[in-house]
Amino acid sequence: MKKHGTILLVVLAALALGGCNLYNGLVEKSEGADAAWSDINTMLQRRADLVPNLVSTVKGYASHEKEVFENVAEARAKLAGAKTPSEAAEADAALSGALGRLLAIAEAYPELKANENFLKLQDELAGTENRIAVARKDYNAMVKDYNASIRRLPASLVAGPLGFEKKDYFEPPAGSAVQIAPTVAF
Amino acid sequence: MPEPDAPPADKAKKPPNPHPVRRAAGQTLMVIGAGLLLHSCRPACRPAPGAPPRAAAAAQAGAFAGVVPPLEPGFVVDKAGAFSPAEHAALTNEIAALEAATGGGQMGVAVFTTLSGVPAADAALRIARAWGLGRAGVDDGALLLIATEDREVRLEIGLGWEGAIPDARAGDAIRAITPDLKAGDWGAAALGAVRQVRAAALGEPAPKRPAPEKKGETPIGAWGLFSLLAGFLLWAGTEPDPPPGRSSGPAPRSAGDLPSPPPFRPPPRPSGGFRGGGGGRFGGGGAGGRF
Repeated sequence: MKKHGTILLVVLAALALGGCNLYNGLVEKSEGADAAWSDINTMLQRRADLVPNLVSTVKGYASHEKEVFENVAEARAKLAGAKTPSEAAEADAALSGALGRLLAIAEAYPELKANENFLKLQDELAGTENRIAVARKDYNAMVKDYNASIRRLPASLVAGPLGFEKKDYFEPPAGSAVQIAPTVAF
Repeated sequence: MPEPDAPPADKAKKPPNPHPVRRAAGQTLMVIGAGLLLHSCRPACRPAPGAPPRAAAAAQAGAFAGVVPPLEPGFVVDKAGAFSPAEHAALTNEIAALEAATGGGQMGVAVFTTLSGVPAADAALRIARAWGLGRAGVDDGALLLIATEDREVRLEIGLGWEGAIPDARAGDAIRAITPDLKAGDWGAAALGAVRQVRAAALGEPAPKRPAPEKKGETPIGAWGLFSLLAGFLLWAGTEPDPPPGRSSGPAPRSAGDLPSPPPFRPPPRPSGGFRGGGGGRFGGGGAGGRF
């Protein structure tokens, strides 16, 4: 009898320990994904901050291309209003498209292309886009890992009640009009 | 690791256990134990990640096909054979001087003929992360990647240097070395890039032309300081560790990391064993383009 009690105690202790490990593991993965998401957000913000400068520089040479400027402003506003990762990804892709057209204008203006400020802005923009791409890859990898682990047994039994929910990928929703644009080629 | 352990344990157990059941149980336990040991040791026993790719990389000499070659001492990995021995030496000196001047910042140079269609930014990030250029936590690393036949260049900047070297400054550096790249003067281009990074990291104005002003002066001074420091570290490091059996541990391992020795070896890194990058992180900052 006493022996059985000890065994039961050991089993319970093992279960409790395993449960703690499981929980801590999920928390860690969730935090990792959230941190990666805030990296993306920082970069999106940084890119949005670059846009007005870029637009005003291009305007100095090509003020009549109103439609392009409006598109950029609209896409930027949409990005600022995005809530979920997939909304943000969609808005970001739209902004990429609009910026691509803005930079294409520059091709027609040799003085603009040689403008030092414009060159620097292009560098910053390209660098920020590259960082977004890197952060997206890192974030999606973490989300994939996290989503897989909350669906795997035995975590799947407790993940729901404990408040671990599936996380969104940073990707435009399937069937959306915009896809992740290829990085702007200079 | 488990191999040397298992046989003595086997011998020790056999004589006092003549009982067949207990012996069987003991053997089963031992098998399980050995299995567990083997399992737990697997990551440690696995060959270094650089080992198998080396063969693959060697198969297609000069091309980057997604496999990151191991970092070489001197931090210059020239798969395209772009640098002359003298250029290689000058470059590793300049890189060592950069490390000394910035108090530990590491810059690597990787040259391939082609990137096999991998975007330069992707390739540079993968290489920079694999090498872990820059100190861990400080993340003061940089990587210059040149693809001679693709005519692509990328200067990747570690997270810790993104403030001192924003993308625009990295772009300036690339533009400064573009004439050399266009001319196919890879040595001058790489040397210029290292100088640009050094100046930017130290907050100095960008060097205008890669003029050989005090070229011979600074590296030697820096080297002297460096080897003095390293010599002290080496001396201090070996002092409290006299067992002769231990010293054979790290040395062959680091020697094994080296790929086939380059035709000319610059003054060896003074750290005794080559440790590779410091573990700096990269987030995709930098600039690049075609030339």
